[in-house]
Amino acid sequence: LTSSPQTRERTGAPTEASHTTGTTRWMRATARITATEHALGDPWDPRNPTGHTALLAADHHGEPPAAATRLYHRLTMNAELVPTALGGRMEALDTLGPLLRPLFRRDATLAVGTALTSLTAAMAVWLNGDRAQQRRTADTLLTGGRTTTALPRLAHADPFAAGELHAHRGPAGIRLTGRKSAISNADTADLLLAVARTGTGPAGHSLLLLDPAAAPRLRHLPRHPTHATPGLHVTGLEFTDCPLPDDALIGDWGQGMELALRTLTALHATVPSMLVGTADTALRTAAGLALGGTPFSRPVTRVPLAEGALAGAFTDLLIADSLALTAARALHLIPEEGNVLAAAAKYLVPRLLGETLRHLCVVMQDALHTRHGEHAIFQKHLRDLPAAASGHLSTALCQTVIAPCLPRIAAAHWTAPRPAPAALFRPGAPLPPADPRALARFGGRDGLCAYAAHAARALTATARGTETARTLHAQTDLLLTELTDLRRQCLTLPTGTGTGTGTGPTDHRAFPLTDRYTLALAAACCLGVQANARPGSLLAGTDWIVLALHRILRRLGRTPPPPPAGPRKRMCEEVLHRTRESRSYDLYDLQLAG
Amino acid sequence: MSGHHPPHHPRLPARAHRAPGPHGPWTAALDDLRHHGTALVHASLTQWLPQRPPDARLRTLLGRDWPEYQARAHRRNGEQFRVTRTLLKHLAAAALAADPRDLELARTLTGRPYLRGCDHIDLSLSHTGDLIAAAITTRGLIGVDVEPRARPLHGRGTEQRICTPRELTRLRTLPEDRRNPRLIQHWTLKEAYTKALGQGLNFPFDRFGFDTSTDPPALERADGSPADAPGWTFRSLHIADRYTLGAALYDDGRGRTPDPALATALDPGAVAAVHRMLRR
Repeated sequence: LTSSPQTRERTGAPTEASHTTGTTRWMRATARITATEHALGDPWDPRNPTGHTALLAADHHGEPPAAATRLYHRLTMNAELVPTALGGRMEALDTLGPLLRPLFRRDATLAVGTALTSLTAAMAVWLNGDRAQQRRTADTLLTGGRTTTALPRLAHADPFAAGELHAHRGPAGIRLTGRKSAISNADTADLLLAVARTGTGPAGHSLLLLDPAAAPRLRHLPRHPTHATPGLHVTGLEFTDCPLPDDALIGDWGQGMELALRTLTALHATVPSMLVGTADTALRTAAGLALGGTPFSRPVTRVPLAEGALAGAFTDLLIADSLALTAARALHLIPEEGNVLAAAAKYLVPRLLGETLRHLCVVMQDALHTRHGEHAIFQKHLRDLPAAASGHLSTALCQTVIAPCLPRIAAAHWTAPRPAPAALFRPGAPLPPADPRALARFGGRDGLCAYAAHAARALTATARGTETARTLHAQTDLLLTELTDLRRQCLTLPTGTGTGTGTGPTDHRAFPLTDRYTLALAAACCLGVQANARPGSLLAGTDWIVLALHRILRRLGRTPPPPPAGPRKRMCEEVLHRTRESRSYDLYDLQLAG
Repeated sequence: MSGHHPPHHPRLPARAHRAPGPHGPWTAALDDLRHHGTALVHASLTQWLPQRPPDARLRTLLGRDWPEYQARAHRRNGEQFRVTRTLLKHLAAAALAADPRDLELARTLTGRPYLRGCDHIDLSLSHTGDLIAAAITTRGLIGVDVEPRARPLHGRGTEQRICTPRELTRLRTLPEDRRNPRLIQHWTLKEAYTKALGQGLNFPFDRFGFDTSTDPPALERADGSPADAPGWTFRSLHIADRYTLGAALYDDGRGRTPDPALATALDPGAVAAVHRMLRR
């Protein structure tokens, strides 16, 4: 991730090897996922100190899960957050999400409190810091320390983005003043990344890296209660003219907002993949309940509503994972397009997963209302998913990234057969290192919608005769209509200054158009994953894609023909199969601990 | 005790405001939205039906719903469709300080309405006879349902299908004339709850219940024990002496958005930085 030569992987066209079972890098990652799963153990075992029972008890008491947190550090999982060039195990961005999923599967408090809080600050240092700052951050994490972030004050702020730190630079050095009442792990962090206001106008923010323990005139504020993830240690900090050394500054003075946005791109591209883990457990709970036969008098495969909910949830997880995979790989392969695709993934994935989890309530029924026993984890995950995704604050930031780019994106041709690099959609295929400088160039281009049209036509050309093929044809026509209409409407948005001058408001029409655009990108990613999947695999088949396109088109406000019953039935059977075998409901079909 | 305490604002207001037409006034509802984080409104279909804008304006107002309106135009419910969509859009537009024509009212896979691209507010709609009820919140999820109090539910076997055993037992302790209104109250609360979840009647109504002897009503499990449902608030209201309204709110803990205006939804400094990076 940093531009050191040690992280470079062989670049070039994907090899045949990458198309089969996976590269060495992917095999190393899956081995570590399996090891983490094994160490954390069967989450449904009530005697497991890192299982659901213990996690729910910590949640009930509003405390971080102690045993799981200790295990996280014993497994040296902080190393997953540190690039290999700095002595960690982070090889590329596309494996980061899957590697942290074992944490998100079990508990959002655990995952956010240990990994995600530290990652947010560390990512800013990897992408923007100098060698010494990177070394200091890496050493902190590799010795089991914590890093955290004081966010800037933003519009429509939640408590995390309320309040502001101010810094000024004079002959006596840098001075920091201000109060933030909600910072995750503020009381235990060894390093704090502060996005401080350092002026008015465009160059109004700077990034500062400091050790709270060494900062004079710093007062710790009491714990800030959180409704979701109540075990998270959120406290406040108040600085009063606190002197900081010159080397606290990351990047250039006044460039903080740009540096933060570049960091956000990398987080947007990796967090969605992590959230798939939380949804995996929720679906596993519902599927387990359905297999146990509790809510229904008949087998679940003979209750259309339940069958549809399970098959639909699995499909949505595959849609989310396809988008997450493509967004993460895009930062390596097409970084100048990556900012919008990553924001689209971060915008859509939590919404999609939240909707699908609520739909699983028709399977959960009475078990939705318990905080005890083997099904209690469902309600907790349903509550925690938006918090783990940083809720509306994050949605607004994703819209901030996407909306100004829409007129430019629409100005390019969308329907010409334009190949997106196949390597975008192939898990584990070789990647060039992510170049931080390229991430700073917001391209505002998109080749994926053009690819979607091309891939949809290619798919229908090979599918003939069957009911599924007829459905795919109709879906392709609707997708092309939608793309044309979406592009036409984006072209009516004012370009350049009109969608936001920095002082003027964003054109209101950009809000619904941004939403539709993210759904169109999701279709493109699904089609890409399907077209590049290992022949003969579930992902290379049409069952999931016909359901995925149906769900995406309906969410786009279109009226596709009802999909045939076969795909729904087989996708539900696949869910039940993976439930019995404890295998993951994602693109990777990995063995889990339970 | 010293100093003054801010007035207590429950998460669901105790009244629903009448909306006489598309152009409001929405002041009372917006006050509730500011103070409670939630507002409830009701409207008369008869009063709204004649307030039809000219075709050209209606077309831009309904936006992507225009084809569906045209398809329904010759059916009875065509104009109802127009009125309910218009009501929701104008209510949302008032809250967002936006032009209703710029907003898109979309539906989830289960048919739940939402405002596309505006995840900081949530909406719900219910309609019975002449009455339309709508709800809006900045707190999380909202569901609303209205029924005429005189709608005969009791004594037709309906209660066996929509009540838990505990609810049935309590119902039977009531005098005969209070049973139907009580059943209507439970029905509207159940509809409101499952609509907030986005599932409607797909969630079997006998798999959860309400204890309406308390205020606010409390959610119960199928066996009558208290449900673990942190974040949920319920309320029953009477409207115009003829209707019962049930409302269900899920507060996801994000806190109230004091100003949900769309113009301030995106941080101007961050938008400006994106533009600078695009120009680079």
